[in-house]
Amino acid sequence: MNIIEINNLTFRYNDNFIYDDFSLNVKRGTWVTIAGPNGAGKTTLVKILSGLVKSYCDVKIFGKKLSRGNIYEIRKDVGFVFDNPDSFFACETVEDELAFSLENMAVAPSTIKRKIKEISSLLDLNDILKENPYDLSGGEKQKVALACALMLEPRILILDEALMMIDVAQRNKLLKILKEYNKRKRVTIVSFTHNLDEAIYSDRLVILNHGKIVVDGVFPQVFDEERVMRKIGLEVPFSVELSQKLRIYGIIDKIYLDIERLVDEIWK
Amino acid sequence: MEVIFRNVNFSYNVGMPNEKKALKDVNVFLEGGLIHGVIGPIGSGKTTMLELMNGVTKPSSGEIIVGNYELTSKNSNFKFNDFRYDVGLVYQFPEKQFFCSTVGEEIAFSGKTFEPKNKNIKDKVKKALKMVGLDESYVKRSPFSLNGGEKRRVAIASVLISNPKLLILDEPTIGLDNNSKKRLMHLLKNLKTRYMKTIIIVTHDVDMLYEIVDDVVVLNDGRVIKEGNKMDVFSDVNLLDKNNAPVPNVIRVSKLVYDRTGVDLGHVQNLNSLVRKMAINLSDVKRKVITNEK
Repeated sequence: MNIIEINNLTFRYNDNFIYDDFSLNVKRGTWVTIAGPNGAGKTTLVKILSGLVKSYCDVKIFGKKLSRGNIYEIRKDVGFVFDNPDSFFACETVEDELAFSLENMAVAPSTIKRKIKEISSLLDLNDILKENPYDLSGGEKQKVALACALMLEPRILILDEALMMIDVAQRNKLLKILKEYNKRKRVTIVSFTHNLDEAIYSDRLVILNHGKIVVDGVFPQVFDEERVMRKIGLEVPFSVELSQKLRIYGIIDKIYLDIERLVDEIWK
Repeated sequence: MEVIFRNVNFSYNVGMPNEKKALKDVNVFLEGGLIHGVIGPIGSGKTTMLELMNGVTKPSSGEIIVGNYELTSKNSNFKFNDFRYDVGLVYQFPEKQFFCSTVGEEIAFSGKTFEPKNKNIKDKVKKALKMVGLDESYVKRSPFSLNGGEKRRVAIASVLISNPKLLILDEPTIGLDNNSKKRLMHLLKNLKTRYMKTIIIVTHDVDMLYEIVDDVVVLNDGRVIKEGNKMDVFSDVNLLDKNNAPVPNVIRVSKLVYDRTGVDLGHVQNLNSLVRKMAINLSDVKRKVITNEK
């Protein structure tokens, strides 16, 4: 069942067409990464899905057509995490920030307390709960912004370059947590990024360029199209790049996403 | 233009219940004319260090010297405007600071701020654009209509127009696609070799850093864990891992190969050299087996 349906989207800024007859469906409970170079139309799509910009086309979320009348109702079940958390925080401590949305929805304090405990343990935020979010580093801010979205238990989680300030080790840890969360809670995740290293944790990779889908597939087969990715300016994951080079030398014959498996395979 | 930190400490919210020590007894010497990288896990004090060397904030204690400027000196002769002219800072997401309607005005703004009677401002704008690899056609375009990579380069051009001797960049490649990143790396290398700039980059992107940097400082929990030549620093994978600091992918694979097989690939400069060394070290027998299986 499709939880997000975009049919024949056309969108332009002034005379500049960003999307022209664009269609995309996302199945419930899956994790889809939408990647593309700078200027591909990723942020525009996030804005359309969040209702921040109005589009005259058929966009359905949970089977309901997105309109001014139902945007707030739909948004209750969709969590958004944007790239720059600085413009997002409203409270003086991380703990208050996590509670903020639920308090506004008149959720019982005991439930809020339980949720804060659960999410802060999940994302390893216990040490910074009493800190001012503005005093945190960029990566910590992004983790808090993600935690705020998860507090609402969204049915769809939309991430717009939401992990880009986080270092590689922490990011991989978070992606694994999100993967487990996606499977356990059947949350649909749509992540927008230009970093394909993040994509390998998802189920499907869609690559945009100038508002068109140029690659759409599952892992690792989707990386057979790595030339297209490279041509439009995307950096393929290091493991894919290494596999491709070793293939040229005749050392391996397929792409490995896991470097440890690749090394074990070569020297087995 | 060298940067020296002597016994520098810095705390946020001093005297408050939530006082937080961001830098602890930091001593570093960053040599002029080189590209330096500052790495460390999130919250390790990287951005604080960068703001201190740019004079945006003052340390709680210790001494900071940037070129001929003693930032911590009580001397009233310290000319902050001159210092600003010599040191350019490019923040994370510098494009979010744009407010002029054209790229030309945006770049000219800081030039006019430092030299109100600047007569050659148009030429300087064009030169700054050229330095970042953008042509003159951008002068009349709106900075808000550009893509992420172009915006970042315009932001750097608006710093370069005052011809700083020291350029400090906070996460310069964040949000940039591969082509934009490569152009930026080429620009930074060019600024060092052709224009003799000292460049300090704070980043998580160690693969990029490994390609262009000369020296590296590793921070964790506000302390300097290691400092020196990039090869010395990055080859100490165990220390970097222990301190949650990032390791370049080629070094990580080289270490993995050694740990799993005992094969020492030696000094690995980049992906091509890694693959070549893996191929050479792999026994002929093994290669024959794979060929036969095919």
